[in-house]
Amino acid sequence: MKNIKKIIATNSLLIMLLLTLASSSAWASGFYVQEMSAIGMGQAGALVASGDRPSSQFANAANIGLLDGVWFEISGSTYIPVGEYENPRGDITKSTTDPIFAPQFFMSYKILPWLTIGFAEFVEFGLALDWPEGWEGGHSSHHSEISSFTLNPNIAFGPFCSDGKDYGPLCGLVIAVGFNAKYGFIDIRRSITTGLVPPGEDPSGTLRLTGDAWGFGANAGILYRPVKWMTLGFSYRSMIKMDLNQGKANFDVPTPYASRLPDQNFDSSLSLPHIIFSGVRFEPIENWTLEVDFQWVMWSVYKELEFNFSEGLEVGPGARQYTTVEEKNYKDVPQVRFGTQYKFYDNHFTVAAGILWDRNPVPDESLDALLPDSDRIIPSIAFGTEWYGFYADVGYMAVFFMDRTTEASSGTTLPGTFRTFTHNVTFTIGYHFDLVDGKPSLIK
Amino acid sequence: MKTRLGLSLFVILLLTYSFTSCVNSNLEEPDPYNYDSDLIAIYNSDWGMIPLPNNFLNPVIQQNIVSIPGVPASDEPVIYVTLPIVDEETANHRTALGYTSEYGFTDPQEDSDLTKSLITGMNKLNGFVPNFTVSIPFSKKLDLETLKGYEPETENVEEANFFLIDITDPEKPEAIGPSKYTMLFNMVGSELPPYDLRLRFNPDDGFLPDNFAQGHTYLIVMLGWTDRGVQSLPKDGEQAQPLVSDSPYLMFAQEDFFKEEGLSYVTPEGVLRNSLLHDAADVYSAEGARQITDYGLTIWLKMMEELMPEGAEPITRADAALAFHFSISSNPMPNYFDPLALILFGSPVVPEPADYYRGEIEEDIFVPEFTVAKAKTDATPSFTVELPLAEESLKTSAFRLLEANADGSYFEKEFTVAQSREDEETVVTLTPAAVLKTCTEYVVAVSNTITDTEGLPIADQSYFGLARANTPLVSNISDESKTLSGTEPWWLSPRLDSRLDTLIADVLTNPLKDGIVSQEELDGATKQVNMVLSVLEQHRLKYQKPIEYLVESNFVATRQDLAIMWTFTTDGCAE
Repeated sequence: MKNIKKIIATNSLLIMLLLTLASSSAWASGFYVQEMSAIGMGQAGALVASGDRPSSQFANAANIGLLDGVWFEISGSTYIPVGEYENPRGDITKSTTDPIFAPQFFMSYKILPWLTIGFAEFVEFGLALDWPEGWEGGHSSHHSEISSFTLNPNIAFGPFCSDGKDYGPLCGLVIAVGFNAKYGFIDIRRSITTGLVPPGEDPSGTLRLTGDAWGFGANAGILYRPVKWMTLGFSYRSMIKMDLNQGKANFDVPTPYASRLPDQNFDSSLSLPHIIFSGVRFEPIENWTLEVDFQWVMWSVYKELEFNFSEGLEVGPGARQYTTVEEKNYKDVPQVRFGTQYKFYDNHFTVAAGILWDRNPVPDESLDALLPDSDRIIPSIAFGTEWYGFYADVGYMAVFFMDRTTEASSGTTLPGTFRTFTHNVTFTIGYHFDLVDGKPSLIK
Repeated sequence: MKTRLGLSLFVILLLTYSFTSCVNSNLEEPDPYNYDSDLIAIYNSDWGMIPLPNNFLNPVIQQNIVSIPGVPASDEPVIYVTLPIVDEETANHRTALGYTSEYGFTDPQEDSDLTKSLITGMNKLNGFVPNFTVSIPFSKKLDLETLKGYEPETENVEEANFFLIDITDPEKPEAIGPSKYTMLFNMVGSELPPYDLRLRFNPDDGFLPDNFAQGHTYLIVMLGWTDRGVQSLPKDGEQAQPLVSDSPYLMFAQEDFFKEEGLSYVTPEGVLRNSLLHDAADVYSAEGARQITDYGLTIWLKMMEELMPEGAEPITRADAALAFHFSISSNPMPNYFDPLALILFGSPVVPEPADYYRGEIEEDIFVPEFTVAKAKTDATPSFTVELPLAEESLKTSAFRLLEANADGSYFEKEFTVAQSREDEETVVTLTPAAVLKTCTEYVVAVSNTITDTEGLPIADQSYFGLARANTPLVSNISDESKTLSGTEPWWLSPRLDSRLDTLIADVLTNPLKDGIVSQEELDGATKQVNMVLSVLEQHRLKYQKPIEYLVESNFVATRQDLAIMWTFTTDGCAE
């Protein structure tokens, strides 16, 4: 640096939001959560061809076509993240995130032998991550909370054989379609490095971004059981564009910056990815199933993030900037899931196990403390029991994040190593009954 | 089933509420804080307004202080400053950003040719010229009664809110008390910001202010924020306000986040650590400016720790509303011009022998008077510098002795060159190889390829920089009438050509002690400066032709590479 020709002035202040706001979109595979039920989680979510439990309609809406009668299911997943960041000098900062709870609700109702309706409420994307205030990466994030839930009615057609047979070259086909209304909410807090703080003022300059949005999409699925011991599944969830209008940008900054960084509204939009599911399920012996799924999460739709401000940010006397754009360039990523389930003691008990290999979509240059994503290997187990149509399950999933090390040369704002591990405990309770001549028929 | 469905919907609604209820942020009006409402020491380079002189503009000093991972150091040591010049593109860019006169500040117009010429010459130095006038811009008028300089002899450290410190040796900073300097506020009586606070040393010789010492670094710190700090001059019905900082200054005054490495906005790995700035060049600039500011603040804070009496309320970094430091050039400078001689009726041109102009302003008309040297034909022209020069750099190729022919051409004379020490000065003497002609004009020119014993190039003394310019110094003088300009302060430079401002301040600092300049005093000073500039303008006009020859003959690449030049005429002309 031969000369400090450009002494930083007001126009530089606004550019902060290029970074500050842009990284607030922390939706990624790392927080693409799919733990919809305990038994499903125990099978690592390999449920595209399961034809079991109403919660499997998340993976493939056609699954409900194989469910008789009426089903209700409520689940609650508790995530306990443990994370740390080690900078290149060996200093370690531990995240301070509290446990996170995500509820899910599913139901299905077979109206006719070939017609089933279902309804799902689930949390598909979400994260919460806290770092100590004043920490090294505070300019990147010290609190991030992103929540969403989706309301998803589905309708399934099939199987089409009048004798109730649900497999065979002609009888084993179910197709389904659904509608998705997704609600998202963000609360991001980030330190603002304003410099020296005037006497008596709070040294922790912070930008807090809050906002919510609705987005809409569709899903479709096919289930095909050509023989009794094998089921094929394929489904698709469309991209959902979340239009965030009237979000709030609140600046808690020292007085000299306040008039240049006024609290204001902002609009933005975010495209959530298309997701393609496919899988095959085998039942080599009665009550024992194995399933392998492959998912393709098309994060490449997330190329950039644009923010439009209501008041703008002062770039000079009488000059304001109203729009900022940040390149994201996420990648399409695969997931491979393997799950198995065994029912015993006259189907009163179920055990499940599985493993998931999950790639992350975040390129090195976009990695930061708000979303320190990495590839994961996720083993899981579950146990459940069912009596008289009532069932209760519990599952545990250990999310091993691969250490994510980035070098300064990659362009990341926070080089070093992120280490993350998450415990996930999920409980499910449900009830189902058949309808015979329009009346409930309790299950023994 | 209806009951269960109802329960399910209730759960959904509850979840929906739990999400949406978190969105409760309220927008708040920011506190007013701007140049209109607050007394702010302006730190805005986009307007070209920062305290000057300032080592933010001195890469020679930056090279010794600033270290940013990821930014490679220059392979070769920097020996020149690079003061920015506002060209057309820069001016247009600033205008596009909205910096217009509607806001009350100077339009970001392109620098004048004179400014560009002067800045180009200043860029041949490793620091600021010794007679640079310190100028600190403010958004509102100061109450000078509240400005209390630290006086080491009276130990008023608990009341002081203005510190001038020689930090050339950072281990032994030396405070300079207000008895040694004079401050002028709003010298030109402007009713629009910026209002400048100017500082010069008091005269040593009873007339002109003393220069800053060559090679020295000076730090200025002003306290604000509280009643102890400097206050604004209240208008009717208003209360005085304490001085506060501009936000860029606060960025620069940030202390180290990475203590061991002395970094804040860049990590030791060279990664940008900043949420205010996006572009790497901006962050590097901010970090460099921060390290420079921190350098001065750290010295000041250590000095305060030692000075503050036990039990006194401690001074902190945050109490300073402004801090900057500047280094004075240590380039050897030939002595060229003595404005005091104009008053004492001597020759203002210092080298010998030398032709010179004098003159009088009579009813706003400058009447020049040219005096020839009447040198002997065996004259040995010489000039002086304070420090010894490197013997090996005193090559004849660094000099020219030109004989002016009647047809306007020049003949290059042979000579030898030598230096000697006399009265703590180095005298450089040219000895012509042959006797000079009678009644003939000769030109002596010296290029900046000469160095001192440390290898630092010789550079022009401040006044020669004016005489070397390629545009008029007194732009409103008519060639016909020699009439000076009217009442407008035409000499007031918009940005960095402060050699002109300095001339005014030089004159004004002599009789003033209260810092307030009356219109009468300003007019008087203007008249004297007009005299100096008019005399220099006559020399400038005389030098145009030989300078063009020296550039065209590749003696120097640009006219700013001339360290000194003068003419002398030999005797023998018919009276």
